[in-house]
Amino acid sequence: MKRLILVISVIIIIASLLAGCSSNSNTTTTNTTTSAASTTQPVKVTTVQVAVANDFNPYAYLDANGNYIGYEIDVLKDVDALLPQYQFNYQTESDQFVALTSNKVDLIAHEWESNPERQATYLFGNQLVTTWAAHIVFKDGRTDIQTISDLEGKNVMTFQGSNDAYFLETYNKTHNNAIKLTYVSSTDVTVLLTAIQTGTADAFILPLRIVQQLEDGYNVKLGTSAEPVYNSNTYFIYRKNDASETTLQQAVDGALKTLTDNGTLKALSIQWLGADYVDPVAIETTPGS
Amino acid sequence: MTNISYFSFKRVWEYFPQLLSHLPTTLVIVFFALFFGFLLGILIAVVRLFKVPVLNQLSVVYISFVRGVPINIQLFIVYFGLPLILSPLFLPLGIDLNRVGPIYFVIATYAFSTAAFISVIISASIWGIDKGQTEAALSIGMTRPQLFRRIIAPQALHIALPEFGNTTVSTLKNTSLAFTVGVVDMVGVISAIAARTKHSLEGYVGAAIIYFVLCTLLERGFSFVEKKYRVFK
Repeated sequence: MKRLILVISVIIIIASLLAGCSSNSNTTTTNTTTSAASTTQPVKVTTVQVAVANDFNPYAYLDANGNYIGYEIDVLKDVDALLPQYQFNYQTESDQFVALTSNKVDLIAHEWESNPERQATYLFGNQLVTTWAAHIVFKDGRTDIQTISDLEGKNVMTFQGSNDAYFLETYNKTHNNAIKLTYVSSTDVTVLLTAIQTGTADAFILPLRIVQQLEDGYNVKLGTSAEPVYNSNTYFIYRKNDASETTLQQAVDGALKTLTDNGTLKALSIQWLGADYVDPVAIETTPGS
Repeated sequence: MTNISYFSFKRVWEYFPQLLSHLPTTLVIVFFALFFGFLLGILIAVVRLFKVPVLNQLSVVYISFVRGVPINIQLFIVYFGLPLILSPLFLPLGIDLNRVGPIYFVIATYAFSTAAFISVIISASIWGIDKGQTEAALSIGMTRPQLFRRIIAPQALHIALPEFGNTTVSTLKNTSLAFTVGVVDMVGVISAIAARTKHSLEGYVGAAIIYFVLCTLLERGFSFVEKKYRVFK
């Protein structure tokens, strides 16, 4: 029993030492960057807190060593490399929009699509990060669903607060709430798949590349509409009405433009997402078939 | 969906080292939360025992708030709300509270929460001792400090110890919610593993084993200490 207590206390002591080490190393790195900036460079280096996911394969997730990897991470790192005046730090936030408005982070990245509702509240970049052609997804073998109007009277599952939810809600406003919506949290993909498989829900809306990923990951076969129900793009998002944020947005957009023009973005898209998803498409904001 | 392999013990074993590598984060949260929780809890208990005006009423509100609000909501309130209130105090010191890592807010939340429970335990165990003993001790000429040290403290400690054990164990288990504000602890790493490998159940089983072993060790440790400091036979 004495040994037990000894073991526990040793674990706690080691743990607190480790914590001490890690926080120390953090402070030293920030110190060195700031001192290096002040001595070697005339430009003042501003630290930018970037919110990224840590469980969003292949866009932003962690490798076995706990390092951020993924498409968005690589894009952000390349952007950072082009901007000597900024130093990007990455962190994960459970609610990126709240973290952004409460000044915890300066830039959020999570394949955010643009829509008028979001644009009213947040500052969007002008350079797209990926395109987002959303298709209707349903149980394999169904032939009755091809367009948005086919969804009338059907049960459709949608992610709470997502752009596909916004799209469906906008359609419902002008069509007498014809589509029955069920909201799920974005982490419960299995809920979605089970509902489709059992018939609890008829359809949901996602781009084909994510459908492909679900099929591979969960070993299911899904049917999809031939044409996308809407096309949109994803962007990095910043705080509105904040001068330093506008400067950051313009700088990041400039770097993104360079990366788009020199083909880096396309190469990253093919590497991480399997195809070119950075070729801009016309944005259709008014829903309808 | 039928032939997907949801679970394999091989993967539990494979993910175990990754979970263990994040155990220090969990233990650091528990340790500091209990440490600061104890300090604050003792202060609140003193306020309650001596019925310090105003502060006593505040402590009642505080304790019922902590008891009545789920811990994950407390986490969000502290993480997003505290910087809003305290930023004006910290900014002159050169600290931007919004840029302080989430782990500090997690420790603060659990410390606040533990403090409430600790203060209740301390004051209740002191109140639980028969008043006649105080009167008897004072009547034979003991000073107040002597009374506390020789009569009250040993008995109160014995009453409080099992409750301290419970608080420690529940704090340890509550830290499993730290991932909700972005701390990559043992639970936070599971979703990262799941994103990489499409398997999460194995991670949860691994975490369950680690939490279970830790809690059992803590319970054993506390019951050992309880026996050692037993005053009533």
